[in-house]
Amino acid sequence: MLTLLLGALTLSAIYALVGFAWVLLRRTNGILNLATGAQLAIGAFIFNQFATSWQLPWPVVVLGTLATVAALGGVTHWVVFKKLSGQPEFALVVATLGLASALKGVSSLIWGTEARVMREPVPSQVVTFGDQATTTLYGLCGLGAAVLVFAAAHTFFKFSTVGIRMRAAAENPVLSAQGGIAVDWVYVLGWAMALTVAAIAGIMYAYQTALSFHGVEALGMRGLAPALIGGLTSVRGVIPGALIVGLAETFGTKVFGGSFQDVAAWIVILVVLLIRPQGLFGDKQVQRV
Amino acid sequence: MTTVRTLFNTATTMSEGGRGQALRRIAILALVCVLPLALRDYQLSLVTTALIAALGALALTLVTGFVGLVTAGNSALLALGAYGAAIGAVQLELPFLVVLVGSVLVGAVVGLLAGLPALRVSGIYLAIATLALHFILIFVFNEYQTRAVGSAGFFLPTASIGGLLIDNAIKWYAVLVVVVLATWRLVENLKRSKFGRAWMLIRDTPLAAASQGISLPAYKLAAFVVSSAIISMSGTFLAYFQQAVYIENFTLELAIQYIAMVIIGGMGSSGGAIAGACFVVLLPPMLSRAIALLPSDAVVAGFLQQNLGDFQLIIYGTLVVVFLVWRPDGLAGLGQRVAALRLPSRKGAR
Repeated sequence: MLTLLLGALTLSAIYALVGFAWVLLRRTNGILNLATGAQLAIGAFIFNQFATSWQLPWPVVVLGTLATVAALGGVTHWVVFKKLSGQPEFALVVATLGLASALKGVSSLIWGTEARVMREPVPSQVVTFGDQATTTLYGLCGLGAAVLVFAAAHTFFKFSTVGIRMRAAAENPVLSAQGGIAVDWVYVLGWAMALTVAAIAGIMYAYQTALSFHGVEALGMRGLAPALIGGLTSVRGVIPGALIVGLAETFGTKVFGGSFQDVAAWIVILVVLLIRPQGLFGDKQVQRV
Repeated sequence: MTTVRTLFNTATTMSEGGRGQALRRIAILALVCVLPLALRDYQLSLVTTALIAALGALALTLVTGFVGLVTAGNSALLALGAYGAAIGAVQLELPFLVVLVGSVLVGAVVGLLAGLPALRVSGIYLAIATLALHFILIFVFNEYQTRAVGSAGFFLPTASIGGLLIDNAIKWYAVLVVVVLATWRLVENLKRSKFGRAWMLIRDTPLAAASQGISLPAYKLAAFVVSSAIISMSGTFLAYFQQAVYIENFTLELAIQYIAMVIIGGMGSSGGAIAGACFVVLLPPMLSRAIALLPSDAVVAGFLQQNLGDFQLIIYGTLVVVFLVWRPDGLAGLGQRVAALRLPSRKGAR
């Protein structure tokens, strides 16, 4: 029982990270990014390229992945979404779908579709708490990463100038551009941060299971569930969202069998849409037009 | 050339009056009649596949083009029609037409159920609801298939209408031409009706639409239900045409392919949707032919041929983005540009 709860908690941590990526883009860039799954998978594969295929030292792996993923974010904004600014919202969503398809093709072309095992910095081991509660080292790593990311994001948005500018640009891009904020760079930063956090989630998930495009991409899409529970625009709301999805998935799988993992989050989404589409922490007034 | 141009133009030049329209109709009819004579069986069945896709693209034009909603549920609704056909034909042994009508009804009901919660709030939630619909329906059908027949999937009997078997390429082509033309007509008529005007107003200025007393949720839902019914129907056609149904066919990438048809064809143009469907369906075999023309010992040729599926994903995805950025009115808009260049007098008409 305790092991199950711990499993749900470590899974929730990963969901919190993915949900954070969804919310950040929705909030800062105003885009419902349906390419999150594909981008998350690409991030994990880039990490794998540095770590496993090239066998580089770990600092280089981390820095290289960070730089590549951030650059990808910048390219995404400058090449695609900058050109689409001013288009209706649905055009942006369709563009993310197109992006998802293209990225999947690129990834499958470069890395194939079969599952891989990533090089580990420390050998994976089982950690035991008390009498029977067990979890894995990498599960705890994921939990730590989530706590770290959320704490950092909190500090960043609350106290740093750049963070406050990002919030301003999200609130009202025209006014903040008038006030001297380089809105384009805010958007680039938004993409870079979202992609980085997504990549971290993908890497943590891949360490706990295996790295396959399909599996990691599906995780990225399911991360929409915690974001939706949080109201799509609330970073704080992602945490209870992630806990709900993590619990639903863990116990659903326990009761209905392993393949239930694929749909638990989606059922949660349908339920949320039915009873409270604005989520638990979203903006109070949902635009009904 | 004329026929191609007419295909592209039909949607937006209705104001031109009787003569142009009559000419266009004759041109389309001529094209429809000449194709089966000119093409071999394999090519004709490719055209038939394109026609089935055109049904789905027309339905999607309704939702994405007219109302401006994004749906990712196309592949799930196709699967709904296909598995409906599998259940109806294989398990219940119902005749083809009954199955077809059933799949239209089931499609409409599922569209209603999926659209109802999502469309109460802003349009973006339909994308979320249809994503959920996709993953849940695919899961259910996968479980059902595994339990009923195993991973190979269902094999369907030959379709027949009133004792007449539809068992070769020409018969299938004839049936689908009729269905596509009827659907095209339906979509065009809807576009010109009270519904179509309301939909386009909702797409362009939702606030104005609301203040005109148009109920946004009701109209959006109507569009989604009609389009779901048509897509489900095209899924049934696909199942009977291929005589096989298996889950691997119905991926999220397939849903994106349908969106690509609409975007490439030109949002809001039903003629463009048909052109887009033909483009998307016929691109892989044409690419394959083009690659075969390369010298066979070239490394490039082998590499391209092996990874054709990946290139397809990349091409469709890129085209969606490129068209959105560069020409949101798609091929239909391009066709008009070309037409305007050739007939300067038309420039004023737009």
